[in-house]
Amino acid sequence: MLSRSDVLDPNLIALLSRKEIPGPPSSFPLRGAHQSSKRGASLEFSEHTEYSPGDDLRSMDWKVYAKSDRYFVKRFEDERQQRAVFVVDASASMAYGSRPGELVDSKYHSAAKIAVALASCLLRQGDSVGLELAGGDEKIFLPPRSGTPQLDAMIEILTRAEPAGVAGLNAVCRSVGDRLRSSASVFLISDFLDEETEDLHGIRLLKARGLSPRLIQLLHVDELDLPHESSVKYLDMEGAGSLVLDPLTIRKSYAEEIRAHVSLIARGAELHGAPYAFLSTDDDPGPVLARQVQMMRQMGAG
Amino acid sequence: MDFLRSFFLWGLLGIAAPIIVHLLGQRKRRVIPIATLRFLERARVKASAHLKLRRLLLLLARISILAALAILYAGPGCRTKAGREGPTSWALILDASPSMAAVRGGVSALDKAKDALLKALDRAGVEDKFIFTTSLHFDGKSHAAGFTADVGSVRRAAANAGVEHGRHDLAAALESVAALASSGEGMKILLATDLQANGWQKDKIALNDSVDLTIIDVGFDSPSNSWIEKVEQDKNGFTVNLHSMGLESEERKTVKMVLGDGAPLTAFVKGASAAFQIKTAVGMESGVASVAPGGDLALDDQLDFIFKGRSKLRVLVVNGDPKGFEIRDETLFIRRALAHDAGLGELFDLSEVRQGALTAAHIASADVVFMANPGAMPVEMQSALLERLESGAGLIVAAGDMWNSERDGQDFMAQLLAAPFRDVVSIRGDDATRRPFQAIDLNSFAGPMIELRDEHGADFSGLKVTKYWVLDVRPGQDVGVLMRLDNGVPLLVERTVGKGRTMLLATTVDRDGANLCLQPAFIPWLRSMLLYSSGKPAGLFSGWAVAGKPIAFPHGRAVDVQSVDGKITQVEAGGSFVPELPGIYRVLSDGIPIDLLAARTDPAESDLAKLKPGALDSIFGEGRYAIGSGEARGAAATVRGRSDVSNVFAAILLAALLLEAILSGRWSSLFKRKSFRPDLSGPDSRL
Repeated sequence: MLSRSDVLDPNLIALLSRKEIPGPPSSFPLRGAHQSSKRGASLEFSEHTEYSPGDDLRSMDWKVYAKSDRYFVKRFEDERQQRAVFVVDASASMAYGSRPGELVDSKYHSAAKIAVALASCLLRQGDSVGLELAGGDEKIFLPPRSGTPQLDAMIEILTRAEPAGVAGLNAVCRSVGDRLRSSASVFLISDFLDEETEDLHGIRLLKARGLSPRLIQLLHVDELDLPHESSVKYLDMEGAGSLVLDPLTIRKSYAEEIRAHVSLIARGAELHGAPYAFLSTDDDPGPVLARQVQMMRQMGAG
Repeated sequence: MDFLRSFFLWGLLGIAAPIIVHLLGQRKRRVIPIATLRFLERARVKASAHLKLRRLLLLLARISILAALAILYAGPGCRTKAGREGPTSWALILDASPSMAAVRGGVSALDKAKDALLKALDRAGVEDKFIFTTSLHFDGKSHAAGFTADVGSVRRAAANAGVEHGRHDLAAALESVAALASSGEGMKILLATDLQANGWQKDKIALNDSVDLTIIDVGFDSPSNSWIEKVEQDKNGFTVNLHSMGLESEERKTVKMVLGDGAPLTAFVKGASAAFQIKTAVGMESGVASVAPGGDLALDDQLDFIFKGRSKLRVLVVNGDPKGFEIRDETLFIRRALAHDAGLGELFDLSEVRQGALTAAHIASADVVFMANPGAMPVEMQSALLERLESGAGLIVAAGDMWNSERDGQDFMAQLLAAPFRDVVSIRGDDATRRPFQAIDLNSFAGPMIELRDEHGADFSGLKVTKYWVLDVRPGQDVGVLMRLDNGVPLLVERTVGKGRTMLLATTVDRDGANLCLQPAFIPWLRSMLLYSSGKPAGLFSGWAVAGKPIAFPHGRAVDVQSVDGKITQVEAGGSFVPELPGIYRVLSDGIPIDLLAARTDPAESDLAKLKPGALDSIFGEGRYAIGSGEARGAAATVRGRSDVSNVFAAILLAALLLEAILSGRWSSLFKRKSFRPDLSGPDSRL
């Protein structure tokens, strides 16, 4: 299991906080491209906050006043506010890279840190975030909400989860699309090594539902170069298969294959207009994510 | 191909290890979980075409590493192209003369020569035979055993060889070694020499056709040297004569001189000699002179020499004749010879006394007591004389008419005289059948008299003895006879008493019994007698002995020689001695030093000039030898041998290590991983 301090990276959060993460394109052309942190009238209630001089009296919740003899105003989710859902791959393969029995330095650890950092920035700018784990030992969906407690809830889920099973990203994407119904950003943080992800069917699904997928592919640095020496028995982390190989003899071919796969995912994402970022576990995520934010702006998402 | 250490070839069995591992593949494997096997399978399929070849090459590389290591340790070699006709006989001759000690650039010619010969041994075949010798006079008998196959012992002998003092004859060494060549077998001779012109005593050396001679020239180009030729003593002091070759004659030099244990004296000179003003006196001492800069050869920069010392000998002349100082006085001529302003005055302090006035105090203060014609003496005087004699003083007794055999008998001064006298013979001139005198037998000179025989023998030819005393000299009495009359009768005898020496002249020292005192040789004779009796070194050696060469000993009796390193060597009477090293040698008789001998490096070795061009052709004949500079490689075409091929296997080892590292991918960990960025170009057929 991970701890809170394992997934909360203040430096990464501080770096990303300087950039405003754009939301999906607005369905209200009159309102223009989004990025607003202001709360306004909307169909969705968000929260109560204590009345301050200047607040709109029409938002005053008189029922709460009657009960508590204190003035509170209602806050609603602004339809110009961004909603974001983080789909974090918690399949067994995401445990690669750590020592047995631990998750620190694994791909899942990196994915959790990235999700928390991005979520923190979105919440700070007034947006709402949610979380769904793909794979893992239990199915969890956290609906998008704003506010600091949402971040705590995300951290709680991410630190408690244990990578297991298969990701089933296509099914997860369908499920997310069914739940969200209206425009939202879907951050897919995964290694995208499942065979089913090669055709990026899940991405197409999300796009069809009017959602904005954003891909962050994570691989461990050893998965790129296969640095092992002498004969090795490789065990499939998500299946029962195994393979005995001399990695020295196939290193070059393997490197070509894995890189080709990553490039395939990247091109596919680009083709579908989904911002894409690739990270290996020894890369500094800050600059990479900053580039992705830039890409999101360029793609007209904000 | 052959091997120096074939035992290590057992290591070739180790190449079975990678083969067995390769075939069985039963190695302990690591188990690594991985996200997906899909890409590994694709990679395996893709690499399968090269996989077998790569594995095979890897196996070959690993086998080559183990095999190359084993062969390297075994010391591989093979015969060279020039000659594979069977075993070769090798004769290695090292010029070990003192000139080979010349040093240039911190390396001596001898070291270069030894290095070249050892390198030649490295090229020898495993079945070859060897003989090693130096240029020290080679008589061939010492190598009757002939050649040896034990190259190790030959290497050790060559490596441990050093400069040898003595008579060096390269021609004799060559001819003697060549004579050992068996007919039909042939021989390779390697001669390492500095080609010093002085080292070649022969104009022509004939070697038979079965001998291949290679000369390794280890001499220096333009040799230069400066050395001390001699040290001459005169009444004012010393003159040190220098000699140079290859140097500017006007080059400034520093000459130092140390006498005995004294402080060094320094002179700065340009040119050929340096003079030192020093007062000298009787007694022999040693000194050493040195010159700097001394040139290429350091052995001759210093010269030990012997000189007359500074202390005067105290001589007490006791006149036994009571008649007073007359013209026929016993000691007249002695007095004249030892007078202060006479020739011996600088060496001796003379005092005189009549026998009747002789006291123990006179005796105690004398180094030598010369008693001329002594008569009967009180017992206490005899005791005093005996005591002084035993403590190291000298006593010389000349016979005279005061002796009376009837009165004094055989016991007359028995403990003091070298031999008792028995009778007296007076030769009268009226006997026409014989000469009116006895002459001296010049060939009978022994001990200190030998020097006189060599230098002044002719001056004794006029000696006539008309009266002499017959002495009772018997064999086994340890009495030395130093002079005889021509009738065989001992004329001068000597005997050791305690630490001292007593000598007896069997005739008179005045003109009563002989004309000795009138001979030109009288004064040098007197000088030798006084010095010899006192135990002071006689100075019988003139000049220097040459280290390594024998020198005849003239002392007439068996003596001991103490070398510079303290070793004692006995030299029989009339024998010879070989000083092995330059330096001062002490001649001892019954433990008492009686003489000094100075030995030096052969001065012929100081001139380092090489043979003139073309001289070797005239010595050996054109085409009868090969010559290389500094090592034998220059004549490799005619030198059959063995080549060390370790470098080939070392290259194979390195190449195999490199190949194994590349094929196994071990390099990858050395390089920093390049960061990967996806390629966004290219087909996307899977979407």
